[in-house]
Amino acid sequence: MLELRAVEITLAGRVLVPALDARVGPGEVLAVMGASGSGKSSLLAWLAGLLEPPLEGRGEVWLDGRAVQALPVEQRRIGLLFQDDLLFPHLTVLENLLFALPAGARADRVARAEAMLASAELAGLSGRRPAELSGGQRSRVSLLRALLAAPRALLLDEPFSRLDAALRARMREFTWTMLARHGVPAVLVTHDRDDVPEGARLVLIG
Amino acid sequence: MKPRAAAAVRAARAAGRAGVLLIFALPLVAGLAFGLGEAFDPRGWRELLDQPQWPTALALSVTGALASTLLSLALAMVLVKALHGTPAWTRLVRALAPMLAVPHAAFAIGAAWLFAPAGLLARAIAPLAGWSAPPAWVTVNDPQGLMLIGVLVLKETPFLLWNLAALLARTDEAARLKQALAMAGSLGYTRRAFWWRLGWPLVLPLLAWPLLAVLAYGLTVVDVALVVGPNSPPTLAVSAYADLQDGSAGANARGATAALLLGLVLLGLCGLAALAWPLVRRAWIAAATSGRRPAPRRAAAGAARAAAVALVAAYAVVIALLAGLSVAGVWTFPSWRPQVLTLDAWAQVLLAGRTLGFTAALALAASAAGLVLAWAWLEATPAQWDGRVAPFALAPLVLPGLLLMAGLYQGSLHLRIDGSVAALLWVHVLVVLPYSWLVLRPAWRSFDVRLEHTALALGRSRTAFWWRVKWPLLAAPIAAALAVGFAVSVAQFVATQFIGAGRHATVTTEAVTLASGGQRTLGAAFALLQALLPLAGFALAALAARDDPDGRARPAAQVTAPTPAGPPRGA
Amino acid sequence: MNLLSRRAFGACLALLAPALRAQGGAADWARIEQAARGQTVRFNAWAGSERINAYLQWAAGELQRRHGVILEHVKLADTVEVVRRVRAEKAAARNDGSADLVWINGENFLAMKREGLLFGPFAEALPHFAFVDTVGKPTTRIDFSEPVEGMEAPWGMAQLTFYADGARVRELPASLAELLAWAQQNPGRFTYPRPPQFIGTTFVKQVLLDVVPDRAPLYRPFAAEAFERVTAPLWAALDRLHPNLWRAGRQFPANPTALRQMLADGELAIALTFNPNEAANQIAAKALPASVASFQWKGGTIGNTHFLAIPFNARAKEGAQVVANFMLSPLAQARKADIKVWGDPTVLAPDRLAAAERALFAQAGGAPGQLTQSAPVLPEPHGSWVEPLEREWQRRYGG
Repeated sequence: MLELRAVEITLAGRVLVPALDARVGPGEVLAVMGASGSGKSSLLAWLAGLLEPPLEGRGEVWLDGRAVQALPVEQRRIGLLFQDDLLFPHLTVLENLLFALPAGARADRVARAEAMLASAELAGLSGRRPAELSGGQRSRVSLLRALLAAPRALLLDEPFSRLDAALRARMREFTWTMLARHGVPAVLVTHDRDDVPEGARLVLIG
Repeated sequence: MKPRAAAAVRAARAAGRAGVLLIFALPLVAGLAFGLGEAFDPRGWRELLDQPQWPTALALSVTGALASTLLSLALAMVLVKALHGTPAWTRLVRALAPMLAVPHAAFAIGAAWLFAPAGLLARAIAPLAGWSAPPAWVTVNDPQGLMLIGVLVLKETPFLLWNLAALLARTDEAARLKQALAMAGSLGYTRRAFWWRLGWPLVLPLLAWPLLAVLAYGLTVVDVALVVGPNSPPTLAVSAYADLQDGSAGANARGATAALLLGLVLLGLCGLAALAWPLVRRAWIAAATSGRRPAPRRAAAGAARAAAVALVAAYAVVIALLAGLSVAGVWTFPSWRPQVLTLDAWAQVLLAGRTLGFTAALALAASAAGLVLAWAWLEATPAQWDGRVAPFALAPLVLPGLLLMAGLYQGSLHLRIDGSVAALLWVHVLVVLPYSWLVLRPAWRSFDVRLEHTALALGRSRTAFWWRVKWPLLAAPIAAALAVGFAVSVAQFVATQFIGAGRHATVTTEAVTLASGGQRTLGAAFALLQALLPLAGFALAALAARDDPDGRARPAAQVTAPTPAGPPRGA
Repeated sequence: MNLLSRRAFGACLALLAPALRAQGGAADWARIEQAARGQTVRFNAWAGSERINAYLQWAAGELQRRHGVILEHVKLADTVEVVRRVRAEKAAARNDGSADLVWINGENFLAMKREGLLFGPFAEALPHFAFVDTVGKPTTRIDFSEPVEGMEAPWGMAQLTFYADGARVRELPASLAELLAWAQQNPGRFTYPRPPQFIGTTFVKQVLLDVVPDRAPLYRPFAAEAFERVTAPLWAALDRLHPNLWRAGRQFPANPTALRQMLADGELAIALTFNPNEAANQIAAKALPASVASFQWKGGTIGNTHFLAIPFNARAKEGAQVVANFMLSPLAQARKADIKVWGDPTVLAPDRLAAAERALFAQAGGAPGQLTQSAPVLPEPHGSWVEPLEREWQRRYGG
């Protein structure tokens, strides 16, 4: 469960995102829309713990009953997805996934990674480098990697905008399915109305 | 374009390329050929192996080079990891340019007195330790070469930092790095963990060439080793240097063989590294993807900041020390200030105005010629050739300078141009050209070619376009190339000694001769002069860069970011 | 012409010959001076001291004014550099050499003379050579037991001299035995330059002269069979001395300037030099504290003459001769001997000079740091002993 209380983003005194309250349950999506420069990405950055001056954020973020707004980014367990898949290019698909998994016996971790790939119909790609995959495959691996880290929430910053129209539809469906399956609350930033899934709460900024 | 005009342009391009090849590649190959010819003389190998000290000398060279390369890499990595992304990083990067401008020899001369038994550090400790006479320290010229390693580390770390800064400042790299950092953070990894698991495996392979240059320099350095290195026995590079200037054929052959041996050692180390890297990498990635998330460490950042401050401070202290030494008369231990101040040294320097003028004129001519040749090459060749040309263009940076210079000296003797200013200038251009090319290349290749098309379409000639559009827009890289070339030429030691046949003194040869000969005051004055010359050049270049209005011709980041041009090498 | 006339003619010629030669000589010299005008003389000289460099600058000014000759001081770290270079030039058959005048003596001179690398003879034809004290200073004509034969012109006198910081050294050790004893009580406060640096080699030769029962073999050319026997006591003495030297004798400084610097800093208490007036000169130049005192060994120390020679392929041979002649002039020699300038003793005989010129040499004694008591001058051993000694020293102590 992700809860935002009185979240406000300012730039040099000017308020970009006025006091925002929201609750996002497991598998639910909060969609944030607005014009360019309206502060949507800044909101995500603040939620993740990556906001830098001169932008400033205020408010509270509660994850599964704990306030995390004071924690550094690596301790929050909030996943990120960008427009670019950002798979580490010098590692294979399997190594990318292993990077995200918690520590443990290697055999178990490899098994979990392979299982995740299989669930997304990507079995057999574990030895490939990201450069050898298609755009759609890369996006899916990126999502799987984020999920394998067992995040308590997932932030998506215009994740489908780089994909072509046909791929976009499939990716959307894949994403919401996986999120629902793993019970992860999500905040989606987009300027495309079609990206917003059914039943999502919509917030307009700017 | 009309067919005849197109043919004319092609002919001009071909002529430009041929000219550069003649002026640059031909002497390079000839020098190597002469040098190698000498080196393969069996007499040389016999003489070398006859000398009882050669294993020690070789060991000193190899350990010195390896240790200094690895230590400076480690220090650079620590500083980047701790400071990158913080305001301290920008401050450090800004301080790098003047640090790099201080020539190796001048730095060594100042550092030698900092750490000598009667030097500044000992005098600082004296009141606490109760010394009335200098301690029996074995620091400068120590037989294990530790002082040499220390000075090399202090000099090479800023170089590696500069290269890393250039790599990280490339707009695409910087953005990707930031995002990768954010991604790793979201996956639960601290900054430190990110660097060790992801950052370094990505960045280090890109540092291959600079590391090679550092290793090659450490193996073949002469001027720094003369001032602070061991002298019983000296490193193999220093004894090869003495042998190569000897008149007897046997000693000559021995020196050339020693230089070749150093070259082979360099090749061998590269081969080892190339073989070991895949194994190291595999182990590294296995460790990196183990999933362990280490806890954050607070203390590390503070220590790194202190190290950065110490590094910059060392340079400031060395320069101040040179200035102080140059006016010091009697300065008995343990006094902090000289008992007697004297301006004799500077009076002598003023009288040696001819040397200063010659050094500056030679450096200006060499850097201007290097600039013109690099420009001609960049205009005459398509961008795709750069990758294949790079190893040849950068050869003078990684080849053992001794071998090359010895070969060129032999060639100049046969052509009867040894000792002539023309030959000396030619050799300086040979050394300066790779730097000019390195500095100009990114700016030239990323120049928006549509600007040229627009100018031509407006009916102006190509020459008018260059004169009034391209060069003014590229004023900053041009000034930087001139400054770097100037610094490189000023710092040349072995080249001037060999090809100048002892007939031409530059500020550098004077400084090293005086300092290694024990004349501290005069040596310090010349060393300070040697350090100030390139600094002046860089200051002028910085002024030119500031005049550049908006750098529209190339990506914004490159206006202020340093390019991996490398330090002025005196080899 | 009948026989009588021919003989008379021959007798007249024989009588007149010296006068004719002198006439010819004077005419020759005028021709040389004329040719020298406008020439640049590259004087390759050890640049071990600011004093010497400054003196050369003065000389350059005088030469320009008086003779129109441009003197250029090419600074060397060691004279052997120019020997190597001239050798290389000869091997490459270069007739336009890089050096016109060389400051030289000893085994370097021997090498250049033997290998035909020198121009000459020229020295005894120089007008000012007449003032040289060839009688009282025999080393002006015999260099390291090798006859000079006019192939180099004498320039100055040298004698191995020690100097010590009077504040740290109560009793100046005036013999080898005293030095060994002092070193044992004050370890790490004395050393000598590393052979083959010439002053280091001279110290070794000095010890050798002091410990051998019979010095005669050392004045004859080097004999390999006798080497081990003759030098055995030398190595024994050095083995006793070295553990008490600076850095325990494992390392040696490169040259006497470094020694002087270490004495000035306080790292050493005793140093050595070849110029008896060096300490006084450096005190006057504010490079050494006034408490420094000079001394020599009571039994005598090695002394020699240092010279100026002209390489065979010098481009400015006339200019070089004019410079050498100027360096022999009373004016130049007196200034050189002045403690405030350089302090290098003169090669001239004061009684061969006119009164006015003799007065140039008068200077008040008792300057701080000056020798209070001269010791006898021991002549140098034969030059052929130098290299074997250096090689053996390197083998034993070169590390």
